[in-house]
Amino acid sequence: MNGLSFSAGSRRWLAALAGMLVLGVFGLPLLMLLLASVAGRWNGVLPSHLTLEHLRGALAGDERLALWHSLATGAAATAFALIQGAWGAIAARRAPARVQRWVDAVFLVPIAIPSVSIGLALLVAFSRPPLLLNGTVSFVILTHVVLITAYAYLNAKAGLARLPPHFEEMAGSLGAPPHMVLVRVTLPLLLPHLLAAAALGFALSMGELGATIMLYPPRWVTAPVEVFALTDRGLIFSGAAVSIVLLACTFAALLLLDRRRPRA
Amino acid sequence: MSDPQISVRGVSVRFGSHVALHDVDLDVSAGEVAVLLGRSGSGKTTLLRAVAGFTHPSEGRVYLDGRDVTLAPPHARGLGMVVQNYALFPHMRVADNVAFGLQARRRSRREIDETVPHFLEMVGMSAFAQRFPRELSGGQQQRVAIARALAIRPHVLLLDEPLSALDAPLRAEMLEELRGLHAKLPEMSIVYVTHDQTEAISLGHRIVLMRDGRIAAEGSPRSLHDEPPNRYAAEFFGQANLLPAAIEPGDAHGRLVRVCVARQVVRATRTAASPAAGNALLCIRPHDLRAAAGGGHGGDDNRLSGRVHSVRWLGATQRVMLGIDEVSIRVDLPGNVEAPRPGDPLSLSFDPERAVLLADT
Repeated sequence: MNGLSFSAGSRRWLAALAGMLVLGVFGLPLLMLLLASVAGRWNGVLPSHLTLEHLRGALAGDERLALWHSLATGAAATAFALIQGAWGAIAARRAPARVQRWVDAVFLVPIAIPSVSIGLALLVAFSRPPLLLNGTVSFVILTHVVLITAYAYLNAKAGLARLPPHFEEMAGSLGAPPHMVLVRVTLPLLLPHLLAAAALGFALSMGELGATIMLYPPRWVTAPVEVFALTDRGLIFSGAAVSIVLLACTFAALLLLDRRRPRA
Repeated sequence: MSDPQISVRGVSVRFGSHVALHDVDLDVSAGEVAVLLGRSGSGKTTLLRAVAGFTHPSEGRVYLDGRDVTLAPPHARGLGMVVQNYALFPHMRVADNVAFGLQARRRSRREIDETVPHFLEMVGMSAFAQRFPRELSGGQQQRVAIARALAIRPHVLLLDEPLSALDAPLRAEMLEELRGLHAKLPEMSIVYVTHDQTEAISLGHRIVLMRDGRIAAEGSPRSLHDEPPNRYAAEFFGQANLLPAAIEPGDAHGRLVRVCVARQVVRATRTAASPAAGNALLCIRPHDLRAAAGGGHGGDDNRLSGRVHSVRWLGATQRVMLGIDEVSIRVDLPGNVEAPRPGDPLSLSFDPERAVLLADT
């Protein structure tokens, strides 16, 4: 028999080890964040004087506005990134291999560059006429689009690679012109990949800080920028509460997207 | 004869340095069922795709109803097509799949509402209209794929190995259904691609045997079976015995000639594909040979005698391998007669009309 095989005891140990790693790396920081969001004081190992005051604060005033800005930015950026990424992948797939490599490079470059550098590059590019976007909400959204389009492109490309050509050929043979094949056949069949891209892009946008902090206008503070500002002022528990609400919003949005995914 | 509905003229298809089709000519008349038969890589699917418009010929022209469609996209050709894996749109219900081609043609809602149930009923799938393809068996999906292709009322239906994903009993059933469908739509031409000669014989008015991107032979199933034009057709189509033979001197004329096979003289039939004299191949089918009474050979009995090498019982028949000198012959004897034993002498007789001579090339 090929591959590794372990005894039942070994498998249990490996599973326990993997569980502890996951808990340590992902679970513990989240737990700490949650505890901090309800902490009144934290002088010992565990917090004391537990309170919901910070969470209430996260849902009111500037914090609530920041959450709304993040949700709006995430939704808009995800929509634009999906259109752009899917369009790029669909347009490039029948192109010669050399052209495809160039298109890949153009779409994937933002992944290889730190987000703060992208923010700086955009700031330089769009801070003087005729392309003056500095200080606008559109600039924040554009920045997020640049940062997350690569993931939409990659997902759409992976979906197209897995799409058997027979479906589109059959639609064509039945008399459907190319635009009808795209709208009625290709895009619906790509839907699971586009939804996965949307989920990833939205989550990334909701947590984006590096580039946003370089160029956000004062009237469009996003939740991560608000968290940064709060913690910078020493309001750790308030920052943790905003983080928890941000996490909950992202999770709810991802659940919604997942419910739209066609079941096999 | 009327003008062909499909006409392929000198079509070659190249993929880089690989030539998938070499200068192929093919005509299919209205109402005809032409079967493209051949092994994998023989070019049969490439030829079908060139007719469908999915592959553009490097050379040559494709005509449909006399119209040059060589460069026309698939959606402008008006053909129905069914492929091996059915390619039903998985996100659409059965009725929506069947309606798709009509919607693409901008037919009225009323026409669609009348046409879809009609064709679903024709293929016995009315009860499944609201199901998704994933909820259907392979045979049911195949029926829906056929209904979808027929709903646009094409003059030509292209079928690319449509039954190869089905098990043997279902395949036989679907073959009968396809024959029945064509009887209901006798004006429709069908081009059917398969590597299965049983399907080809069952369905085809004409079989086009393909090899290495060329047409190796074509004709009615019976003519290809009884009088194959060349060695490849004889071997591929019905697993004929091909025995080295020499035409006896003085037998240069006439339909029946005497030939020497493994130092035994028998009579065989000369066809258009036979050489005039000299060396030839004697082509005879395993089931056209029968065990002869007595052990001798020659005379008017048209016999070949040899020794049994092996016997394999196959139910309805038993496959006997007989050695005659250096020559080995496959013989299918009825399964309900006493089997000869390996090493036994055996004489085989045959009707000279069932044995044809081919060029030894």
